[in-house]
Amino acid sequence: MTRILQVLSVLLLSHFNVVSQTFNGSIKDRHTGLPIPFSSIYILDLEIGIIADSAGNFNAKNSLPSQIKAKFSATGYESKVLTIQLPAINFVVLLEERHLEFDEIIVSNNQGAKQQSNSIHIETRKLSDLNTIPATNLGEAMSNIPGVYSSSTGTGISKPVIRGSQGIRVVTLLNGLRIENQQWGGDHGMGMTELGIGSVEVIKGPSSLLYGADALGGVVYFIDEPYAGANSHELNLKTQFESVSLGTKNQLMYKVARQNYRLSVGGLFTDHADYQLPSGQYAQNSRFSDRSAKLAFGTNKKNWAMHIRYNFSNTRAGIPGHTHDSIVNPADFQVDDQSRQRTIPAQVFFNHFLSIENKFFFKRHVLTFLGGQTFNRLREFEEKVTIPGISADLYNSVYSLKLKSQLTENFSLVSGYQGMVQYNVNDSKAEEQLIPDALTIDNGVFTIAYLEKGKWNWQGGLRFDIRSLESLSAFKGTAPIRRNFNGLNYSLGVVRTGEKHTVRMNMSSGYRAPHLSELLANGFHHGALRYEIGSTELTSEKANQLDFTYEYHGEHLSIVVNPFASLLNDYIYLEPKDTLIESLPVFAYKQIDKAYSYGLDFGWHYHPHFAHWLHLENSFSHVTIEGREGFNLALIPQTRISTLLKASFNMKSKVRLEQFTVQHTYYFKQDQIAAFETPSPAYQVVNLGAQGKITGKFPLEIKVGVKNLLNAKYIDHLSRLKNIDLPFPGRNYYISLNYQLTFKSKSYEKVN
Amino acid sequence: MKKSISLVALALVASSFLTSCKKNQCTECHYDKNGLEVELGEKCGDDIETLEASGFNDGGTVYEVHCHEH
Repeated sequence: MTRILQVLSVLLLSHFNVVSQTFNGSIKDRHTGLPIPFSSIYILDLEIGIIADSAGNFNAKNSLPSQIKAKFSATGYESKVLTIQLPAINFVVLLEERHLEFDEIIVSNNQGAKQQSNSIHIETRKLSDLNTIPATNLGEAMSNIPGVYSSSTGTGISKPVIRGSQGIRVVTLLNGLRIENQQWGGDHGMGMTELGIGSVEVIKGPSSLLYGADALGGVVYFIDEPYAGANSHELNLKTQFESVSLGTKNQLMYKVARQNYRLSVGGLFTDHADYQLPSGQYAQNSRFSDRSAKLAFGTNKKNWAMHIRYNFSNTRAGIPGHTHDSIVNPADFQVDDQSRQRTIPAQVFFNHFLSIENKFFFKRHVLTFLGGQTFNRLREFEEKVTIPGISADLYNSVYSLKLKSQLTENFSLVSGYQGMVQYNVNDSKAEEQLIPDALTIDNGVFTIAYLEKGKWNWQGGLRFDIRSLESLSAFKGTAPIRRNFNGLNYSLGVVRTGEKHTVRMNMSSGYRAPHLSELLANGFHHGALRYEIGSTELTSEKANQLDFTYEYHGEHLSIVVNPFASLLNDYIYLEPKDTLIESLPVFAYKQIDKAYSYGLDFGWHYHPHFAHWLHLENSFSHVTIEGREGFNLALIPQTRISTLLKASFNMKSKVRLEQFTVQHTYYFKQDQIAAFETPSPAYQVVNLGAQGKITGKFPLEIKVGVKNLLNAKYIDHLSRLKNIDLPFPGRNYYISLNYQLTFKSKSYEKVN
Repeated sequence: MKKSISLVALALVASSFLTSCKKNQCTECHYDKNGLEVELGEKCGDDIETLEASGFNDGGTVYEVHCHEH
């Protein structure tokens, strides 16, 4: 065995090109041939950013492999992504002037490919775009993406809902690290803050080929902000205030980038009191606070690049709706006084996410190894401030090995192995255990082929996974169990990219092994306000989806039409029992042999020639999920039409107004409901925002506005507080300040 | 300049974590007896933990203690 490893190591290392590669050149306007000053070059695999000088020249002093993929961009020009063989001396890149601002080339970070040639429709959004009207939390920001909603418990706890799937059916990744945060609980939030997050990619529908077990409803992939530009350092201070909860959010981020290493470090502190309702009263115990910190370190040498990332977060969120009364009076939860004092019931969680990614670049191959460790401690305090009702620790070790091979000019193969060892342990001090101590082990192998032929790109792959689930002790009368769940999954798709029209079609599958909570639960879940009973008879859920996308990119108009249909087999759901235990309703986990999900995401963006300052965006999202005749599933999002009117101004003054935004969202009534649900009426929300800047060496960006301008009283169908009739926040004024200090090293200026 | 910015950044990040430790939190405690709340007054730190873990002995009967507002 040792000998084999030695031979393999020699073979691998023999491919290294030990010469540091030169990469310099200039970026020019295609038509005029004039240099484009301060244009940017971003080397994708290494996550290195370089800014050209005032004459459009660049010189990458970093140690680079023999082949790189780089994105060249400049304000007012169409970006270009090129694969470049190094050394490349006096390399000239010609950029085309861009009339529109919405045909940006998007490179999917999690697939390393241009989105335009990817058969899987991936929604990629910069967090700054999702926060045009600043969101209170990450879930709220993500609900600006078509087909994505937010399931919330007040403003402190939220999680994304993708085409009606949420929690355990959605896999969340942070820079490739799978995030496990007790997402099986309906009331358990995402455990993430926006600190240092640059963008998010959402895959709607089953994606087990790429992400393994549980990626049945969709995938959320968060990507860090880029490091500082080469040979510079940046300090960013951001602060935000919201009137409705007297909430503050303060963030500080420091970034430095030198020739061969990059470092980002930052912290975020958020604190909100109970939010104000449209009536003027306050939602009792809706207060919450977050603390988070982040560190990212990247380095590269010759044909090797490494990124070490660490994130910490600690959230304490009040759980509104606490009562000892057998008959609940919703009015009791709407109080006259606002408070931010810590009280119970509350959910407290700690998260530590650590990942180390190593990439090795060969002539035609990229080998990526990612190892990571996450820790989640979830505590729910119900009746006692020192003794938690529930307290569970989740340790998760993940590992993946991926080899991307460019076998010919038009054919590439990605093969890999992914695994996870997860250990769940309860705190014996807690009053209640919802799930037993348990060990879960995932292992999966996959291969995906990519073929490019003219305007056509084909993509197909297979994956086999096995999940081993073992409870480590008897639990509430059930003997320890050990179960294995296998999954064989596929994805097959094609995309045809024309100058104006793009058509993509993809078929994919996903599977989800039942969670311990579904197999063995037998107790109160106060956060979800119910008593839950599991079943050891449950089998894996399976899903198959057909997804079709048509995109039109005209000179002034962009349109995306994305219908989809899924067949869900052995769908697990909660069935209400006609019983109460200690005033809480009893629910049991059941399985339905077939359910269907179908719907449409549709969007258009109009940017008229006669008014370059105007942007009009509109999106429509609809999903239906139904079981056999007469049987409906719960928590299906309301159909939604969202309209954004954005006026951009090109002022030259020192104090300038840059943008004015009006956002209107209309939610249709939801009467497609399960047995224990109540319908939700239609509602609409209007937000208003303005963005300006005080320019100078260190510019200050200012955002002001009002959310829920009309002070509408509404309760979203996915709100966990619907059962206590607690509305969303009323009119909410905000102000956000963003102060950016960027310093370039003198040595860098001399080079260029 | 670089060093001072680094130090300021680290100090600010660290302070946000160090300043919010509330080990000696105090709160009003009570227990329910015959449908009435019997106040035990303000308790702090370990006293709260002891009361919540062991309850309050009132004339031979041990009552569950609640240390939070309703």
